[in-house]
Amino acid sequence: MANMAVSRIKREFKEVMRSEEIVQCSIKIELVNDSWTELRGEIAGPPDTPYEGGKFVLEIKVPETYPFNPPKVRFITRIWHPNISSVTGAICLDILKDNWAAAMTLRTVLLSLQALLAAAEPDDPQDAVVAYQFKDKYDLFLLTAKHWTNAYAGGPHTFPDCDSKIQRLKDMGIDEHEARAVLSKENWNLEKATEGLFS
Amino acid sequence: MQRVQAEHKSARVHQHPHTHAHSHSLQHPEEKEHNSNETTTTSTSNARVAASSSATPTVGAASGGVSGAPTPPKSLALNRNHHYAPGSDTSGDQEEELLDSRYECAICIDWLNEPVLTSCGHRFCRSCLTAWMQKNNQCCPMDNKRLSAEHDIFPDNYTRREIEQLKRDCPNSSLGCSVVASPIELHRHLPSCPYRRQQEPQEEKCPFAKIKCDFVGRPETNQLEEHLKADMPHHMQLMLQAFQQTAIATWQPHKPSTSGSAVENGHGQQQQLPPPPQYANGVDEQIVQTMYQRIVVLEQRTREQETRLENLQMQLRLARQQAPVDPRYSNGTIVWRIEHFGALVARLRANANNLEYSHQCYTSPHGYKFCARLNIQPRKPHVLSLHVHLMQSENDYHLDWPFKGRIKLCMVHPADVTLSQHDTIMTKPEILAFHQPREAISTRGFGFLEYANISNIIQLGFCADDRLLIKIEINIV
Repeated sequence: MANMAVSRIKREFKEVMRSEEIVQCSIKIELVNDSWTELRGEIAGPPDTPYEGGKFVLEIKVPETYPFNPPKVRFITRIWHPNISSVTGAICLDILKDNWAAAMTLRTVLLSLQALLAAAEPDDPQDAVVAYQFKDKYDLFLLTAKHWTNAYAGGPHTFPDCDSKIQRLKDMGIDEHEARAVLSKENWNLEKATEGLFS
Repeated sequence: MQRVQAEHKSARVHQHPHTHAHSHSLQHPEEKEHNSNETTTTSTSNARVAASSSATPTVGAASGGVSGAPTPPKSLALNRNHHYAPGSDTSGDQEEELLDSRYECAICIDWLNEPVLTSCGHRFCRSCLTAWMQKNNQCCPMDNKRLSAEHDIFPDNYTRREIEQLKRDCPNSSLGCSVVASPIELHRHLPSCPYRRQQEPQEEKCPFAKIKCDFVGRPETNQLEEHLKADMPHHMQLMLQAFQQTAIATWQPHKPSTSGSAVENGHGQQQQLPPPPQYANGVDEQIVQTMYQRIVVLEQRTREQETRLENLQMQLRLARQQAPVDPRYSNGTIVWRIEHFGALVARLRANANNLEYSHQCYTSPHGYKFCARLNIQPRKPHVLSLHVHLMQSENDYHLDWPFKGRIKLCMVHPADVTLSQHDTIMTKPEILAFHQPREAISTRGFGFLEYANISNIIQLGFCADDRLLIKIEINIV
């Protein structure tokens, strides 16, 4: 790996380790391998959002051309958000694509992602289904996002109704994650979800 | 504190309108950070002000120490986390060198090397900015303002001289290097410094590395600490292994041909050499050696036992599959599953001499032996006959004859037990069928010539899956 990328990541790593946010447990970063090319980030769900109380793990891959090209970032923890794919965890955020600037760091990327959780942009979606729910049925979006935060990121809100519907589909032999995804997509309408799965 | 900070952050996001048609308003977080260090700290929460005030004196000292150079107020972005004081950080290695953000290139996050200034007022190393402009759009990495390589980038000789005037000791001064130079010169000097350490401590090895724990952590993280906490069982195991290997390595068999028992008893070691010096911990080699031998013997025995156990279990499994119940322990009950009932009926009808016998049963382990028999009389081909036959057994000589008891016959309905057909017969001494049998199976049976109508059996659903179940219980009274 290019020397510049390594030395920069090392410095950035220290920056994150010393930052205020790490003291507050709001962001976290750790190495995955020895070559400094892959890191694992963690951000806390921002307060007053459906993601509050959850811890979201991110996969960060540093290209050899870093910092001239942005790091490749993806959510490992499943999340229900208009700008993040509920299937792959891919993120739609300008600074990770065309608007990347060399002056940005891992710390600012993590903070930007945290800000993205607090301010979704449904008009420029990554996951069209989530974005549609966000715009059309905001209450259901909040419920679903909280439920996903609970199921995957350790969030505090539980929804027995959702759980029982998922259990119904599981009893029919559907995988739990698939059941949750389909029900979320169908606005928790069990009949429609079943129809979609078995037709 | 966390709450205030986060609200503050999301508010900033909202302040920025859409600047790019296709994207979100989350650009230039770094720019915001730089600003926030001087402006937002004073305007937001008290907690933040309190936190930053503690850093202020250090920074003040820093700018005072830099030969009182007048610095442009806008670029006086305070050090984010580094507390820089000139001349005080020379003890650490290069990695630990803390630098003033005024002299920091935002691209390599290192000292500005041949600094250039952009028309929008940001400084970078010449090589860094050139690389950025070649790879990406022609815009500033800090604020995305358009830059033209010819018109908007100037060499910043002022800053270059400022950095050159900063004189610091070589990080290896504690090892004897007397070089004093500017940070950029030190950068060039370090790889060739005669006092440089052979290997910079980039990695932290586990203290158990000697016994083959291959964990390596990064010094700037607490990985090692966590490893020591989490992998204790692993370390214990390694220690045990190491100990065993020491025992094996130092064990010199006195007589390789000696049989196990002799060594076990501690004989054959009389002329053993004195323990080698490795055993500084006072472990008696003889004890270790004996114990090692003992372990080998015991391990071998364990393995043999395991194999035996496995074999026995397999036998048991096979036995269970093949013979469901030993007839001796059937307690006088025959559960007779007749498969392929249709075919059986056809066979019995075809020849009146064809008989179908059930398996045997004993009324008790030392009791009477019975079996049951099905057949069809040629005169009544629609009716099934069922009889019970006494059988000769090794118990006959001590039993009372004729047999006295009760025989219950039951044709079990597979779906509805209430439909099952029950019949009970009591023995009578004058019936020859209950006298001591003279043949393997008594020629005389006792039961019903017309037990059941075959078409009824099938119509009433006794014969699901072409299978008929007859249960016979024989008890002594």
